[in-house]
Formats: sequence, structure tokens, C-alpha cells
Amino acid sequence: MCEKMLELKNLRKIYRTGRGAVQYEALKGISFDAFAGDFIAIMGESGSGKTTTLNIIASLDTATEGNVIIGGTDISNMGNREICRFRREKLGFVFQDFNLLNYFTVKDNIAFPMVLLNKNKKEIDERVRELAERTNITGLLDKYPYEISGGEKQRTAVARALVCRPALLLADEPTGALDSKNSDQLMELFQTFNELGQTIIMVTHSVRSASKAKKVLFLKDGVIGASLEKGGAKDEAFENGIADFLYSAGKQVAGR
Amino acid sequence: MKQSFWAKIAFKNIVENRNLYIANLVVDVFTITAFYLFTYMTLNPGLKAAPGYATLIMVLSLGCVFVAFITLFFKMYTNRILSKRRDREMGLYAAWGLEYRNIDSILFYESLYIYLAGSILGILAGFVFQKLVYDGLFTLMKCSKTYVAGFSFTPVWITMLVFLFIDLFVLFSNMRRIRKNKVVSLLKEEGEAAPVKELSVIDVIKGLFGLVLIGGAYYYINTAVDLRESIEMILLAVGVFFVGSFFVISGAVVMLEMFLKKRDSIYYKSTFFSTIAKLISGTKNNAMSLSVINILFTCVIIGASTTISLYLGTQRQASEAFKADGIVNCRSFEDRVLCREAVYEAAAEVGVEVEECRESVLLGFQTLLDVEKGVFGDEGIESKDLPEVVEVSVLSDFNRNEKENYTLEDGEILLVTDEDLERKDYEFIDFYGEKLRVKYHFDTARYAGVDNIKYAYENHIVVKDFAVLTDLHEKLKEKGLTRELSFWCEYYVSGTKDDKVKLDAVLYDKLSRIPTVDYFDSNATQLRTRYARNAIFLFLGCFISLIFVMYMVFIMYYKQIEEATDDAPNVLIMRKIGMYDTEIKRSIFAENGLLFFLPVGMAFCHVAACFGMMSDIMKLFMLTDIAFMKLCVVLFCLFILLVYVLMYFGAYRVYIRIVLK
Repeated sequence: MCEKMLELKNLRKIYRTGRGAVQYEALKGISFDAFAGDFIAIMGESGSGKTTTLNIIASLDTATEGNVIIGGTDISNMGNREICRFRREKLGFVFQDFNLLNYFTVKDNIAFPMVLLNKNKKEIDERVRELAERTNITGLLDKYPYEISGGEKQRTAVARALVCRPALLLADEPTGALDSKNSDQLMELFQTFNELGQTIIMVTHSVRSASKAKKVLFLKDGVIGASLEKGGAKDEAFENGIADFLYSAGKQVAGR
Repeated sequence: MKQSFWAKIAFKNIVENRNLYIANLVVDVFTITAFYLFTYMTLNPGLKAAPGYATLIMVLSLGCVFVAFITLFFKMYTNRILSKRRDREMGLYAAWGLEYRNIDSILFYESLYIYLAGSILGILAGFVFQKLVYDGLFTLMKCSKTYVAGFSFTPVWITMLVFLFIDLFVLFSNMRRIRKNKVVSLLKEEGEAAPVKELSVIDVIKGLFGLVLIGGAYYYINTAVDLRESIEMILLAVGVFFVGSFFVISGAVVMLEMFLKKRDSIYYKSTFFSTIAKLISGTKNNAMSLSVINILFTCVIIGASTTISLYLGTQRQASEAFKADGIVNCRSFEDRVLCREAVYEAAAEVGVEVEECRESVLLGFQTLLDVEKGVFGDEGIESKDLPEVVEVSVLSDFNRNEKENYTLEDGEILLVTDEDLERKDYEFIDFYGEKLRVKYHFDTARYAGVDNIKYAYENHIVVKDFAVLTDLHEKLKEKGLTRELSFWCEYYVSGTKDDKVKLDAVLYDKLSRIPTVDYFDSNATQLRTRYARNAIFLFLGCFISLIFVMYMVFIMYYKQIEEATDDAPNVLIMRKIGMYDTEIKRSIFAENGLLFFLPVGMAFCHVAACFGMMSDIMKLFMLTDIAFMKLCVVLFCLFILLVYVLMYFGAYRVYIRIVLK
């Protein structure tokens, strides 16, 4: 039995505007588990609750109700400092807009989380070099983010996300700002790291990107509407499966 | 579109950007108030009652011109920072289809509102404070005041006109800039992909050049400056410091930061990692603002601390200028008795006792001395870098004044030559053809006078007695040297300061009846005139320093908003990565601290280097107590540092509020 890396228990999130007069329920009870080595893509229309779910897992936002358990630790009731510590040690992020710091070189951007954990220089150098080789950005280490392409930026962001060997890699629309070639390269990279045992949770709109995952969860109006397992299928076949599912779901909505 | 529409948009813009405009308005109001007060004081007829009225008016008028110019300079500079934040807004107007003349209308109305609000509030504040400032100045001057109350339009319209000109100048430069820029470049987010300026060879050269400039200026002002040129030199030095500081900040400081980055043991520490990286990008981009702050700070310390020490040291200056309570000079040997009698009579009338009344006779004039040959004359001798003077006096006066007991025979002299001239052992000297035997020879170091600025090489010849002196005087007359003997009477009296002021008035009246009296001065008179003059300097120094401080705060406030707005996305990333708020705050505290205190540290170095020159200038005003001046400068530095630290914490809070919002 694989280790349970993530457990979401009946997550609810209610946004209140004004003085609480207007309420909006973004999540209406999301529950799912992710095991070590899982690669889960979360799909859904805008407003379905994908990013909210990811933000709550990432502890960037808090749930109104429910629990988030990562690697056996319930982060739902952690204090701010504990959450920060947990985030820098156990989680890695890849964002749509890269979120690289312009005043750091590529190397320093990758090294930043390790420096925050007070790792020694030798250890930092070794890890940065190893990840740079895997993400194919070794030649860019001394450049600044504004000197490299979008694909290179995102690979830098992936290296940074993985530098502390996180329990979970969270990605929010990682291919959203990339062209198809760079998107494919990035997804191949995700697959490679996943094959090496990295657990990945990814939010995406892209069917092609989602097809690289082992499992796809479809969110609709704040609940998990359906899920698809890749099983032994090839990427292309799984992509078609996801597309068919979305097509038929769309038809159902249209036919109502 | 009607003008009222643009006027409304302009008003809305000011309300929307109130964070920026309120700071702008506060500085505007303060400078307008200062300018109005200077103009009001200059034009107030009551000022005629002040001692040294003409000088006072001149200094105040110069103050007005100076305030106007620095206001124009700083407005242009701060406008650059302000407009950077508004360019996107103007770009949007252009993108929506507004013509340049429509944008000009908006800019015009914005400037008009700020101008009117600033002028009205500034003049109103000036009107409220004018009596207080007027009374304050006269209290500082320690003289009776004749405040002429009432509202005069002249200072109002002069103030409004000057600031109208300044604001129009700024407005036209803004209009020109908007027209010159393309809409796309206006729309570009400020700080968007702002590259980290990498250290280049040029930077290294610039940094070294800056260090050489500053070092050269330090060396020059402390060694080669002719003391009489101190005031011009200090302005030149400030200019060189500014250029040098800019180069040092933009080059050498970044070099230092780069060096720190290369030191793994420092750089790869969570406390310094982000701080050093941000500083490298920030220092170079902020070099100009930091240099301006550096120079403002230097000017504030030099201007305020010298005027404060000048004012607080007035008593010391008067005492240095006159060790005695008073001194009377007349041209006639017979009338000197009358002068002495006048002193005693006046003292009796006032009810004080004359403790001592020293009389002396002197023949003094400009001369040339051939040091090698020991020859005094007017022709055939090469002149030196400073004028030379010689004073011939009699032995009895010399022995009494210097508490010595020398003896001389006919034809013998006691010679005192300037300590800065080469010392030669003369057996005889030639004094305008007269051969005089040198019995004693000293230099002026032995009989040091006031440690003041050196205006001339001083030489003294002491002869046996008055008969020898008159004989020498006659012989010189025959040779065409028409300088007359002068008779001096130095008196010391008992009594209080008020008694001495009364004695002054009575004695002045009596002496004016003796036609051969050339000169009368006293400690009390010196004190009165010096207080008046120093108070004006203090008034100007403090007001102008306050204006500088206001602009310094203003520049920092804008820079903090600007930097914080640009840094907010970075901070968000740091938080997402898992940086604690306390770590972020610590990092910002260190970065801002270095950027804030770098110019101040450099300013303190400049002030320390300028101290010799400052004390020379003070010596021109007879403030020779350097320890006292040092104390004033150090205390003022501590005070301004405290103010600056408070400003820093204020700015830090603004920054944190923006980035952690």
C-alpha cells in the first residue's frame, strides 16, 4: 500500500463579501486522496473551484470547513509561522506566471527555498546543479529571469519548486503562459519527475496537459463531478478520453 | 468638450492620487509660507529699527531668491518621481482617444488646483505666523521690536507670482514630456521587467573616480584652500561631493555589494540572501535620489549647525573681538587725556568703577619685509601671498600688556616677526633707511593674539620710549610716509552687562565731542551687533534647513511608495515560497536601512571633512572656540540623526503596509 500524501476531507469554502451580507460558496465539500507517486490533474470551468482547492492545499488560503492532511499532518489548524515552515519544507509550487524574482539570477531563484532552510552552500550548489541538468537550464544559471524565455522561466520555477524535495508539487495552470512546444516540454518534465516518485497535483484547463497525469478530477460548481483514471493508457488515448468526457458533459449541459 | 469637464477630471485625479498629492501640498505650503515670511520680513518697515538694517535686508532678500531657486530645483526633481507614477494614467487617456490638448487641460487644472491650494494655505499660514516669527527674530536679535502690524498685499503678490512662475515651469515640462513620449511607453508599467543593472567596467571606473573626487575634495579643502576663499570653496566642495557621491553610490557601493555577494559565507545566509540581491538592483537604480539626499543632508548639517553655533557663540565672539570692555582711539597725543577723562566721567555717571585704563601709542601701516636682509620698505622688495603689516610701539606699553620686563637702549629694538615667516637672526634691521639694533627677536607664536583667520603677516617693532617713537615717526614723515600715530585707550569696568550697555551710550556721547576720536568700540556694542547679525543667519539657516528637510522627507516618502509598490509582487512571491512575515520585514528593514543610512553616513563624512573649513569660516566671524563649535556640530548631527531615524521608521512602516497589504 502506497503512502497517503494528501487527504482532503469535506473541504468547504465560503467567501463573504461586504459585511457578510453576500455569500458565495466556492467549495461545497471536496474530498479526495493522493498517494505517493500520484500525478493528479484537476480540471473544470472557470469558477468551479480548482484554484481555490489548490490554494487551500498550498495553505495559501484557509477552508471554511474540512481538513487538509499532508503526509499525515493536518495543516488546517496550524498557526501562520508553522504553515510557513511547513510550506517551505513540504510543498513546492509552480505558478502560471512563473513568480520568479527579477533581482535574483536563475541560480539564486532556484536556491532561495534552500537558503531559507539554512542549508549549506555545498549542498545548495549540488542540488541546484542536479535540478538544472534535469530541467535543462544549466547554461542559464547566471542569467536573470528577464533574460530568458517563458519556457525557460517555467523550468526554472519547476527546479525551484523541487529544490527542497517537497512531499507535494502543486502546479496552478503551469502551461497557461506557454506555447504548445514549451507546454509539451514542461509536461514531459513533470512526467519525468513523477516517474522518479514525485507526487504532483496540477490545476489545468488544457486537455493535452491533463493527459500527462495519471488521474483527472473534474470539478463542477464546487464539487468533484467526476474522475478519470489513466490506467495503462497512452497519453494520446487518455487525451481523447478526457476530450470525449468533456464533450459529452458539455452536451449534457446543452441538452438540459 | 467643455473646459469644466477637464476641470472635473483633474479634481477627481487629485482625489484619487491623494496619497501623492497631500505630501506634495504639504511641502508646497511650507515653502510658500517660508517664502512669504521672508518677503514679509524684508518689506516690513519695523525692521528699520534693527541694528545693521541694510545688511539684514540684503541677507533676507538673498534668502528669498535662494528659497525660490531651491524650490524650483526640488519641484523639478520631485515632479520627475511623481510623474513617473502618473504616466500610465496619462497613457490611458491617450489610448481612450483624448487629444494632447485635452491631456494638457487636465494637467493644467491639476496644477492650478495645487497652486491655488498651496498658495492660499501657505500665505494664510504665513499670515498667522508672521507676528510670531517677527517677534521671534527680534527676540533672537536681542533688540527692542517695532512690529508694524497689518496686512500688506505686496508680499502676497510677490509670493503668488514667484510660485506661479515655478508651477508653470513644472507644468510646461510635464506637458512637453507627455507629448514627447509615445502612448505605448506611457502605458508601460513602471518597474516592469526593470533589469538588474550589472556591474560593468565603466561602473568600476565611475566608482573609483567618485572616490578620487571625494578624496581629492577632502584633501583640497583641508590643505590647499586659501582661507579667504572658504565660502566660494565650500560651494565648490558641495558640488564635487555631489558628483563624487553619485559615482560612489552608483559604482563603488555596488562593487561592495557584489563583493558581499561573492562571499558565500555572507550571501548564502537567509538574513542576507534577498537583502544583498535587492540592494544590488536597488542601489544603482536609486543612485540619483540617494545622492540628492546625501547632499541635502550635508547642506542641512553644515547650514544649520554653523548658524546655530554662530548664534550660540555670540558672547564668545564678542569677548574674542574685545578682551577689554571697550577701546577708544584718537589721533592726538594731547586728546588721549580727554579720552581717559571721558571714560572715568562716564563710569561715574553710570555708577561703575573703572578697574583699569590702559593707554598705548602705536604707529601701524602696511609694509614689505625682505626676510633675508631684514629690510622693511615699500619698494624693491617682493610682495608675499598675504599683505604684510608692521606696528611700532613703545616698550612700556609692550611690557605692561605682555607682562614682561625687557629693557632697551636708544637705537635698540625688540622685534617680533610673523611666525609663518622664516626666522633669521638679525643684528640690525633696516627700517625705511633707519638702522635699528635688534636686541630681542621673537615670533608671533610667543605673543599669540586671537586665533582668527590670517589676513596678513604681522610684524612688531618695539622701541625704547615715546620720544624714540616720535623721532622715528618724524623721520618717516620726511621720507613721505604720512601715517599718523594713534593713541589707544583700553578700559575695563565693574558692573553688570546692563551697566556696560548704559556706559556705552554715555561714553559715546562724550567721545563724539572730542574731534580727534577716530574710533570707539566696546564689548557691549559688539555683542548687540553680533546678536543681530547672527540671529538673521540663524533664522535663514534654520528656515532653509527646514525646507531641505521637508524635501528630503518628501523625496523619501515618494521613493518609499514607489519602491514598495514595485516590490509588492516580489514580497507576495516570497510569502508563497514560505518566507515568514518577520523574515520579510527583517529583510526590508535591512535593505531600506542601508539605502536610507548610506547617504547619511556619507554626509557625516563630508561634514567631518569640511569641519576645518567650517571652523575657518566661523573664525571670520570671530568664533574661535573650535571645541564649542565641534560640540554644536556633533549635537546637531545627533539631533538630525534622531529625526532621520524617526523618518526611517515612518518610511519603513509605509513600505511594510504597502507590501504586506
